[in-house]
Amino acid sequence: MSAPLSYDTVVSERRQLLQTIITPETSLVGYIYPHTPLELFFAHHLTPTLLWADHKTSGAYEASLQTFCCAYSRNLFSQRAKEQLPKLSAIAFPGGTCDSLQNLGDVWRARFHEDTVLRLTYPVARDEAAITYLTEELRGFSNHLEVTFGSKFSIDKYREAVALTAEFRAAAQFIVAARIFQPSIYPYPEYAKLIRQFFTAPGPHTLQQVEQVASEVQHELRTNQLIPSAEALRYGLLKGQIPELTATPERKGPRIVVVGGMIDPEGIAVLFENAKINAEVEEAQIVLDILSFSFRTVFHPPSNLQGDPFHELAQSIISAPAEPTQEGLPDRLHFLEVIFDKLKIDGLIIAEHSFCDPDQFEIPDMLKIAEKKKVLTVRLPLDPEFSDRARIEGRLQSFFETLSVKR
Amino acid sequence: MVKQSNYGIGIDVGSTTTKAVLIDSTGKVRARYLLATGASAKKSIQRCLDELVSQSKQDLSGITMISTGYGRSQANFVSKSVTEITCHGIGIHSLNKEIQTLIDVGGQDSKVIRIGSNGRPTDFELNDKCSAGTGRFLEVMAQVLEIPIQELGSLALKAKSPSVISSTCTVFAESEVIGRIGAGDTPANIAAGIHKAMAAKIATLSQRVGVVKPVAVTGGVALNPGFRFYLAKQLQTELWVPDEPQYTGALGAALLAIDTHE
Amino acid sequence: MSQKTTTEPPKEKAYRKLYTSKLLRETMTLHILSTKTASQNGRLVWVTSGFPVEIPVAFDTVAAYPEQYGAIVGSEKCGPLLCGFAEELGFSQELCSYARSSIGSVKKPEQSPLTGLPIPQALLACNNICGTVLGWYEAVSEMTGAPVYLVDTPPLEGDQPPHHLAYVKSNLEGLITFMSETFNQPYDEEKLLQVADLSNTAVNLWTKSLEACKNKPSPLNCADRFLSMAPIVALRGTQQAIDFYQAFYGEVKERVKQGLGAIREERVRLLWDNIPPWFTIYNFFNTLAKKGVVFPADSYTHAWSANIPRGEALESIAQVYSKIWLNKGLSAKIDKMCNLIKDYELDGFVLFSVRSCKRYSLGQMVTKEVITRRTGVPGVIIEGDMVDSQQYNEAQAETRVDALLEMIL
Repeated sequence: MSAPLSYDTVVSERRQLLQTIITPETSLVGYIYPHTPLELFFAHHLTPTLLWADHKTSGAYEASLQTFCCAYSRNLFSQRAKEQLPKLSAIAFPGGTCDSLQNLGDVWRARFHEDTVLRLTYPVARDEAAITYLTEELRGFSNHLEVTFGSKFSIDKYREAVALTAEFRAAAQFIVAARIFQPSIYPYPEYAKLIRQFFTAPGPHTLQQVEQVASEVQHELRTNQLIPSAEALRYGLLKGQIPELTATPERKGPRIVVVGGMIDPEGIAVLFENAKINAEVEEAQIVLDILSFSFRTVFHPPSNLQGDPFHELAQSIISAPAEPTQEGLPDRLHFLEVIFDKLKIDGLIIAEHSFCDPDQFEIPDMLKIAEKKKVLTVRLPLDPEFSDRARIEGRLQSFFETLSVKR
Repeated sequence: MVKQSNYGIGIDVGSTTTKAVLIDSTGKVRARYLLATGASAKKSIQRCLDELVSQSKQDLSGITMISTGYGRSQANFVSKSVTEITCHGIGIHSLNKEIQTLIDVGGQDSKVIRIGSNGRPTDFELNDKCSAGTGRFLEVMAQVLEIPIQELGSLALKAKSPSVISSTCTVFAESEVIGRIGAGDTPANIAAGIHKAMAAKIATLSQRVGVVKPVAVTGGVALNPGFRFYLAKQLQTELWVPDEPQYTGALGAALLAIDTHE
Repeated sequence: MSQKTTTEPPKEKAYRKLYTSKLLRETMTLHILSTKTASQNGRLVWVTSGFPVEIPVAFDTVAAYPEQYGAIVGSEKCGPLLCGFAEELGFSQELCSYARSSIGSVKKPEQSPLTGLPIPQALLACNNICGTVLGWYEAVSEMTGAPVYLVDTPPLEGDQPPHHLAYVKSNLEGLITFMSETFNQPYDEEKLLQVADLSNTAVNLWTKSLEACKNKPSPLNCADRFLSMAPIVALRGTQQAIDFYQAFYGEVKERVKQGLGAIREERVRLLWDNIPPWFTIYNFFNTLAKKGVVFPADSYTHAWSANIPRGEALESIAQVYSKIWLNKGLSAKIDKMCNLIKDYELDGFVLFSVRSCKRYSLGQMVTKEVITRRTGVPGVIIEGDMVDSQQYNEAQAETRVDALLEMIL
């Protein structure tokens, strides 16, 4: 029995990691949306860092935002108000993705005049017109970066960055696919940590760690002759489609999928592991998550280096699967149904992010599909501070108890 | 004292009260005790155990104990902790094998549980973290009305036309009740309005799991006749209530302890 | 002309009732009946309040407005009941109460006011008012099988760049294809222009009525505007809307001419921000009317004041509907409210923080500070919801507004 994980360690490690990439020359740009084009920042000699919620920060937003603002936005705002964010040259907000984040950018500007607030607006569609629109938004955004930071778009830097993210994504996607076949090959909390490290401090160092793990996983799979199956699955997931599995996935315990939005995957991992210990179901495994800062950030098709960079980036962003604001609901429900059908899933954890409209709207339909497919579900109403943690762990523990009966 | 190895103890450490049950291997209750949890869960657990010893005149050392409830992790000497969802399922099933749906309304939590064929839950739903739809809601309202909580339910049954209490948020409802008092509504009508609002909230929670009959109600609030009346009306079904509904979770834990032992 | 004296109640109330409210009721009842017939004939669409309704009207379909239905649900005080039906299905209580009550009424029409909105053949959403409409309509689509068409108008910062206009226009072209295919009818640009003309005429009458409230005393109070905006929302682009607003504007002009205010004694003039609490709309504004408080302007009913300019039809529509101020961010909203305070000579403002409506409400704390700084008039934020009365605390709201009045008087 392993010791319960502590979330405090996760947060402090994250801070330390950021320190390793900051030099006097580094211009850090914080971002908060899974489809932010990292490559564009690198092309302008900027370093993007994903701003994670901090579970220990709370209570500094009340003078500026109401409680019904999305919990993640509130947490970030509190971090800023308490000056707990890393030193940033700018912060990039998404536009058009949800009402809370849309307004947060405006409130941020009004409250923190000294901050450089950037906004990149996304279309809510996936057709050619949407790609054309986003292409021009990205081009305009690039011009804006040039004016704001005085650094021109460098095609060399851009290509380097495309290679960096493409290599990271390929390795991370492979690990995800491999874990679906053999979840014990690499524990979920470790996977979540790898992802966090890269998005906190994207660079050769963090890339190398992911590639190292991917190669170890590959080695392991080779002995079981699972590599072709894992690769086929990886390509399928990239298109939001899942092929028939050509090998039987490992099933030592209940196989669990986690869905949700801007919830920290490591936070989920901590809750999951602790509840497992309490319920004595150590074989239960998260075999796949569809969270914003994991699946939705990792499964982007690579950009083609040949074409117009802005068009290529737009194409990659728009065609990434499982995004509630771009993909229609029927497609996402179908994707979940296929996951249940083909990946031998026993349970579904719905991480319900407090006051997140796009995610909360689809929960009832997800529940319906899970019921149809006889997949047991649990809803975890969460905010980044894990307030009410005892009750959440109780829900998870009950879920495991119910699951073990079903099996 | 006789040492009994084929006994089981269940301790349900709730937010308001702590309950302990001692049973023998046939499932017969040998001793039980309930007291307010108070500030220290550990202390109340110890007092419960002491009471089981004195009631049963047994040496309890070595007996398998299972803890449940909100403070289940506080009982660190038990063999295992199991959530109140599972324990309530097991407990109610042992009391009435027919029950398909259990609604448990405690001090800080309310839950709806679908009971499987062996008493194990097959699905469940809990209230969110606000105290709407829990015993706490009724306690606060009783205080506002200056009526002992034990009398709130029977008072509600005397209502001629229940007041409209639209809010189930405890804080908002409090000022709404004060408003109704100011408007001259009778305490009975206000009490009825309070129970109606609470029953509506619990009914919504129940619909999420699906209400399959027969339905049982447990937890401290199950003792409240006003709540039972309005919930039955809202769900359009009869409700089965065990003799001592507060002990259901502890009983389930004790039964699990016997199972573990065997 | 003599009507006004004959309709006076024996005991003078603090507010004056509009005699055109009878016509309003008739107009809206006919509209509701027409939506039922349209649904049976396979020609009903549901649209969001900021949708370019001129296009579906030009396709001879009838539009029903779920947001307006939400207002009815609220006024009938059955918000918690209907929202509860949606919550039973698993929709979070944290979601918009228009969405929840709408979903609830689709689930249990027999327990809903007017037995719910008739089932649509298409769901037409435009996200210029919020992003929530998409999740809402997609959920209704799963329940009814009616397809969703989204006109995507990404939020604007500053002027509308050409690629934004081109994108929205392409969305409108898509809408036309969608409508042609769904309702088996070819697109007729001339007809669209005619509808746009009708729409402009009604909007002009509406705008003039709103602007008449610059007069002292103000001929209209908040509840008057919120109720009589129904046709501008639901019947824009039809002759019925024009007929109503001609009569309505006539009454407004008459009140101005005679120096009659919406309330008997006008002492304080305030600005209202956001959707009103429908379940207590009369009670709220009439209680304040007794204290001499009138609301000559609000940020909400002015949302339909944009006109479709002459020129290429789709391009004009793409421009107008992209520039709805909710789609333009906080600074546009603050500018607009400051202008209203200046133009209507208002003494203060009430910002209603509506828990359902994140796009409208998040930012109000900053707004309050900025408006006071710029205009010098005080304001207050009250909290609640437009339909879900469980989220509203009357005593708390009253205390806050009273405190504001004490600052002004």
